[in-house]
Amino acid sequence: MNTQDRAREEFLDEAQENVDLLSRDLVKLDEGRALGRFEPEVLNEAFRAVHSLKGVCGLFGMSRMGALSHHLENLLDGLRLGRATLTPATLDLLFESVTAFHQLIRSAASDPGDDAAGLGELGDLAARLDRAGTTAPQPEKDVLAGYALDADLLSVLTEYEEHRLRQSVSEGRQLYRVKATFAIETLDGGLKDVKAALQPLGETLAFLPGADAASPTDIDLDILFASPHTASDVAGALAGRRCSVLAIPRLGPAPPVAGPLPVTPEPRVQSELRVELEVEEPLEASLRSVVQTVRVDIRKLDSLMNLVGELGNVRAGLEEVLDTLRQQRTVLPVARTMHREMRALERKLDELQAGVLDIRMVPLGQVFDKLARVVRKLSRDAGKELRLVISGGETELDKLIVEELSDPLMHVIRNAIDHGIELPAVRRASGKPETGTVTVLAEQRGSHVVIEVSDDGAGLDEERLLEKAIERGVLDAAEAEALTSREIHNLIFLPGLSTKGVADQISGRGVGMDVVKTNIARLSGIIDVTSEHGRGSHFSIQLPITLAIVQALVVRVAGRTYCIPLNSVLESLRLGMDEVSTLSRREVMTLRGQTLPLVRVERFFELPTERPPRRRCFVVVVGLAQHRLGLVVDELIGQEDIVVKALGPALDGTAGIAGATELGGKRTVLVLDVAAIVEETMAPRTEAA
Amino acid sequence: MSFGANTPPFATEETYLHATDRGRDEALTTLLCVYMANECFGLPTESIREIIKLSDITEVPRLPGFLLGVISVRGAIIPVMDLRDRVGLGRSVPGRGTRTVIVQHGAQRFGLAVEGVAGLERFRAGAIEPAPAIFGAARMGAERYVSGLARSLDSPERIAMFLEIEPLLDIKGELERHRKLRSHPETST
Repeated sequence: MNTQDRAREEFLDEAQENVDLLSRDLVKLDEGRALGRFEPEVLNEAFRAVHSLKGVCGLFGMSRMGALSHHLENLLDGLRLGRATLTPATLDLLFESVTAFHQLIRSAASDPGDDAAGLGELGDLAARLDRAGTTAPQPEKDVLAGYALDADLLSVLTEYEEHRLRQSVSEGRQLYRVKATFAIETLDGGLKDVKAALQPLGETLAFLPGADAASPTDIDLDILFASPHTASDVAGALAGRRCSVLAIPRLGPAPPVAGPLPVTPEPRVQSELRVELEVEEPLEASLRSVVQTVRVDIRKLDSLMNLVGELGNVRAGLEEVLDTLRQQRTVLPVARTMHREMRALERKLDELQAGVLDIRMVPLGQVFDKLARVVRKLSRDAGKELRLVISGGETELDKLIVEELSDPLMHVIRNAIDHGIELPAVRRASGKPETGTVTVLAEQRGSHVVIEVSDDGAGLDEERLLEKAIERGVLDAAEAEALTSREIHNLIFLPGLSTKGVADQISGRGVGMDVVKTNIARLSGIIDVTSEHGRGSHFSIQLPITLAIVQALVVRVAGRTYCIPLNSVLESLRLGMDEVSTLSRREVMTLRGQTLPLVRVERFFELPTERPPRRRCFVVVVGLAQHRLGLVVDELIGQEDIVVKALGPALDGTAGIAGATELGGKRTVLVLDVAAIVEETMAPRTEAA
Repeated sequence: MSFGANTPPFATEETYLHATDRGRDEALTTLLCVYMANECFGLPTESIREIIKLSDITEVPRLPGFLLGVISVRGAIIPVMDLRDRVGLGRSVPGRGTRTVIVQHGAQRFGLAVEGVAGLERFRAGAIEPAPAIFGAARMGAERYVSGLARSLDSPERIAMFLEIEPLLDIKGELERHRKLRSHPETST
């Protein structure tokens, strides 16, 4: 990669990061607005994100993105300064800009020369941004006149600070001047600490340099603070810090909105408990960046992972040497020492592997933030009222899985909004709250992460599903009769069964739940659905934490070695040929009273084999969602941790093979794709006589 | 850049391009010559990553016959094709000369199994003839891969067919055809 490419990639990363930040802030603002709250700090964050976005655009000469961010910045600045009001329409416009940025970033990523033109069709968006930024609210009357604020103070405030000051006063909050003393060395930490202590009580409007400090090693700061709480509450929150709280006296009667605020100046409350803060770092520490992270290309982690895998192979080789040494009596003491060292090497290798895996982990919150943005638009387009409740965003998964997950997860949620949640009128009629709720919950369970998406909508229509399944020839009436409720619900994962009769604009894009299932299965995941008619549906997606290393069962079939990922193996057992019977031309066995279809791996893969079928072999019982299948193999070799590698673009998609791995002794071994084998075997009607 | 006394013994790509720009006959092009079915084929050097002795190939089921399977080269999984079979000259016969030429096109790496490697040889760019129907190109179905042929400057007894890497590695059509064939099998079980 040349320097220019790298710079470009860096830019794209950074731009993406800022747009993601902006998007997250907008979602927060939207949520706040729905609850009647206005959060100036969030608005500020959004402004800052766009500001740095504009900065990097300038730095990298991305004129189109730069121009758009400029218009956006103006609007956000207007909003935070109170020159424009945050209406739902404005929020829509802001979200629209996020989408536009996503497109710009994508096109910049695919076509480096794409930035030359002017704003083009974005000109319209820019103009609308400008218009929204000038919806000037009514001129404020000077609310500050009611306060004993000295002109000196007002003159040093920035426009934003002054705006927030006016806003606070007109909302009837009490103004306080907090005098805080900090040791010079710990100013940064101390300031952060005081800010955090004040945060729950109100808004910090400005920091002003205070009067001369008593000691040359101290710094005094005046903090202008607005709060609906009393001075003693504020002082209480600051207890233990070198701070004093002074209420700024209000002249004349308080505005009516003020409520039970103390109108008379509070006596000066001192909390002079001096606590010597630990001197943690020298002054120049403030020059360091706050964030202690590095950005790493995932491919570099892949090659690290490969190296770890190869080290494992070297270790296996050493183990063989050790075995040879053990055979020779004369060197037995050496062999013993080597054995000890080998154990140490093994442990360190395990730690190294765990460390590399840990670096790949990212919180699911990255995907959830995107979901929130899309859901907002979707529910609006569908004319439905919707609340999205998300929890577990901190749950971590392998970066690659998180990336691949966003599309299928989005589709499940789309499905819930489109087919699940009813229109407000319908909901009212059936005695439900008009606002539907979609809950997304993620949590780690052992070496898996489970994501559950539930809605309180209409639920799945069993009869309709069966009707469609019969119509499509998936089932006949007799088979339909025998299905359990759960089996019926899982029919939606079959091709052609999840889309509504009439194509609609949300889910009806020809992509059904079958694609979701395929995508999840590709991640070695399992998706399952339960539903109650009239009450809602519940999708559960189970995913491995990482695909980089998986545990696998090593088996032999017709003289060849294969790995079966352990996360889809339920059990393995010995099989006598007399236990096999044939049912509608398919081999089956009975396992604990249930019929288990069998698949002979060598037949599935059409492997040439000379010898007659073995008398005794093994069955590996694998499960995928509601399906169970027995894979018949010749031998079980053992378990191994393997790094699954793709077969490469040319051979990807080879049915039944998920990839390859290197086992000790440098053998390249194929890894079976259990999902595909189950899918193909269970595929309806392919083997019908 | 002058073109005369200082010409390097092997033409680089630049000198080649430079010269062809001017329509000069002296331009040389260097290819890796490999053997299959006693015929000589030239592979463009810029696609070649390395040449290795054929290691154990892990066969991958359900692939067309010319795809032998996968090998692992320093941690990377690379598919291997029988180049002789690929160009329609029948299965290659493993022997002492058998090698795998690792080539790369875009992100895709492939191992090409050949029966023998002759080495790098130079060809006069001006003497390259377009791929004719001789050598039974039509019979082989190889006209897609052969871009031309020429006599080697280094071993004048050899005439090499120049192979194009991109169509060689583009196996999508073959895989698709193979898959279709498999899904309508005339199985006797």
